[in-house]
Amino acid sequence: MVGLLLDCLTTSALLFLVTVGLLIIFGMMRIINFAHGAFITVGAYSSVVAGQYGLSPWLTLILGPLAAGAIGAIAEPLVLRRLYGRQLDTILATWGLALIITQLVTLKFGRGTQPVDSIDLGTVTVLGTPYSSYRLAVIPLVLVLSIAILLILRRTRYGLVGRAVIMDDDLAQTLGVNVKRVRFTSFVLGSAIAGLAGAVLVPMSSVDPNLGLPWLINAFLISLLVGVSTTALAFASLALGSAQVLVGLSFNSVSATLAIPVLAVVLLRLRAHGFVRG
Amino acid sequence: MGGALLAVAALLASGPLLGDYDRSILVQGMLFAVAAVTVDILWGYTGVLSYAQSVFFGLGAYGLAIYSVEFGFSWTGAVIAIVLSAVAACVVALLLGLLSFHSKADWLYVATVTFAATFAFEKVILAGGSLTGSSSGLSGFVLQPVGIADGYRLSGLLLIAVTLGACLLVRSDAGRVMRAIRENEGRSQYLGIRVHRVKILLFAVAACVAAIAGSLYATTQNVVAPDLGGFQLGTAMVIWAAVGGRGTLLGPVGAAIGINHLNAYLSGSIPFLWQLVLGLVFVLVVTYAPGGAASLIGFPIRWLQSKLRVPGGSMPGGLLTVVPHMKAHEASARTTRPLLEVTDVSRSFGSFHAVKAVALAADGGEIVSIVGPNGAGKSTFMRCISDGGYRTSGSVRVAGSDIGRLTPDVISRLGVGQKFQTASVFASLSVFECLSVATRARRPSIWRRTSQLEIPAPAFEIIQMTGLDRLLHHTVSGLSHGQKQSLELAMVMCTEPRVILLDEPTAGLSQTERAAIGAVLRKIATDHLALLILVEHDLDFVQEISSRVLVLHHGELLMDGTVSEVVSSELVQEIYTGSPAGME
Repeated sequence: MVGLLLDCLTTSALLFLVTVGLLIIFGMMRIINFAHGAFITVGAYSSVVAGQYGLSPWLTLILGPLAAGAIGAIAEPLVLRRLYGRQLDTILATWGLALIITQLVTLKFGRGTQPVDSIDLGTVTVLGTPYSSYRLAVIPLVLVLSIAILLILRRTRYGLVGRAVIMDDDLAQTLGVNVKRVRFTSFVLGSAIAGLAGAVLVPMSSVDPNLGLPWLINAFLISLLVGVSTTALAFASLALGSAQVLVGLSFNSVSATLAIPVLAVVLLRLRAHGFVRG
Repeated sequence: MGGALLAVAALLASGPLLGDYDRSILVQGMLFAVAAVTVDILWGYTGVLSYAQSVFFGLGAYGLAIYSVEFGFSWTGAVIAIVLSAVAACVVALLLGLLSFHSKADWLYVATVTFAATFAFEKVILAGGSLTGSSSGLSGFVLQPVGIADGYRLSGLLLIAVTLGACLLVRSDAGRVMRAIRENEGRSQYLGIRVHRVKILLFAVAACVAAIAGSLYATTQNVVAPDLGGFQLGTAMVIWAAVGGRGTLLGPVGAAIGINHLNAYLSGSIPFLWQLVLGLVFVLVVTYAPGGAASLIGFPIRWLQSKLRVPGGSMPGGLLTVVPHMKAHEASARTTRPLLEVTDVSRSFGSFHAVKAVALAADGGEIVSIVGPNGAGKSTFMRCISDGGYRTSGSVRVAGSDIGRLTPDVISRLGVGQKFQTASVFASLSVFECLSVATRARRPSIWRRTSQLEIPAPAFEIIQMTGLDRLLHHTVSGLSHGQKQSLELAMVMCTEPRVILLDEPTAGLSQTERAAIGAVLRKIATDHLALLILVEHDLDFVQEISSRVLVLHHGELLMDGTVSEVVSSELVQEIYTGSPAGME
């Protein structure tokens, strides 16, 4: 029972982590980033690179976001900046970007699954149930990250300007806000968080070029449900993450992987606002 | 277009000249091209981005394979299997369509749902055990393999048939409606076009066609694998359509065949590099040449055409004429109930009340103007009448029937027409096409194209007065602001509404145009006994044409009276001059 509860919590935390980068980019830029999954993959492959150079697997938590953020910083001015206001084309272009990144990864590392040295924290006993310490550690990591994001949005100049851009980017621009810079920062930040998510996923998933894809689909449907609200995202992650764990327990693993897409699609049909009040 | 079909026919005829290897790849390419045509119909022409065409292709392929494995292969069996899998694809498409196309789902939702569908397809096939062959797929199920020459002819014929059918469809009256939906879904809906129904229907038909192509794929290749319905093929189909040129039919066909051919040659020697190049080309096309290859090739051709065209010669698309239809307006049966009854309608946004318990009963023949300062709730009130889902509380009856929570398309069919504040038209259509889309006396033909249009007399008068009747060939995006306003009004009149909602009909019009429009509006009210409700800031215009004036302020109905009553009212003067006396 305790194990099940912890499974629900950790799965939800991972969902939050994977989706929050997408949310920042969508909120700030109205851009639907289909390359999000590829950024997650890049973050995960940082562990392969770390292994090749004999670095500590802990460093991937920094290398992953750096690598993904750097790719985001290259892609934004080259592709995305030219597509503002053409939402449908951004879906296509970011998907193209995802193809390019995935192929580059495949060219460098091959198509197969990579053996990696991952962080191993052993197990810890929670109320009599042994549980993976690493999975547990994801919960405080996500809490810290979400508090940091909230603080940045509520307390800093970037957050204030960013919220102005969310509400009305045209007005913000006429008021002298450098919307271009806000968008660039947001895209790099969102990409870096995707990279972090990828690095965090390594000990729990096999590392291959399509690692990010199932996460992309889940993240996407959840972000449709929650709009740009991080609080709604927390609720949605908790609800859908728990649902996934419970479905996996009662049926098989295939229905577990399909649980989130199917639930999200049905929820969206019944209630277009999803978890957002209004 | 005819020339391009010749090219496909030539490709077919040249079949025997090509080697077996090339022909077997072309068979694949042509079947993929059929799927690419369905993507183009949905996305290029109707604006529905679907990643799920591979799912239907895969359903067709697996349908045939599983049927052959389970019941033994025979040619009769193959036909049954093709029909069954087409029906299955149709059912899946209807389900996905019902999920995806409704009033609150946007195109992003559709794209995401169809993307998730490809993912689900692969998962289900992988979990299918011996029935689907799991990850290794099924093979060797066709016991009398189709020869390469037959397979080549069969897939070629399917491709020609589907492309021809698609050409006819997009150039027909129904094709105009599809493009209208792509250009401006909201306007289409308020003209009474049942947008969601059209999309679901198209989606189902496209799924059927893709499934048939998939079944043929299984028959000719004798092997099926889970990735046939997966996201990679699904997104590849969208890439073909984008790179070839969306909305051109032949662009996607050429791209599907060409890219598949290159793929076959290059994926052996440089598999990943080739995929990388494809990704780069895709991003470049989307970012810098959204029209795709077809627009790059088409550009010099169009330039040549424009140079070669004899001045004053025939117009593209032939002679178009618009005439008023002579049908006498049937005098609507007089009922005891007024034509429009609005009872205590409110609309709130959270704690803000944009419209507070406004009531109005009005009859045919009246011209009711709604005045009030900006933010008084005038446009919001109009929308409460034309969109059943919009008001927070209260009821609206049109000709005695309650609009309940009906959607704008259905309400339009009850006889409510609305002209929006900013001219809302179909930018890439011609004036004639816009009028033809709005006139829905008959169900639009899916293969014929009207070139003579009968439109209701008021609509005809508007286009005649504003000179639009001489611009029937012109693309709407090139019209002036005033012309767009008049065109939209004419389009609304084409639907023969009995209750006409006009949001600032004279904005952007010249003084003469304004007077002319005023005359037409009066005539519509008196001759056709229609009820006109106007939101207007031009008080002179209001005085001139209204039979009754409503004053809204802060969402509340302050006055409902004749023009002279309202003009002489101190209250109204206070509102407009901003004098605080008597106000909150």
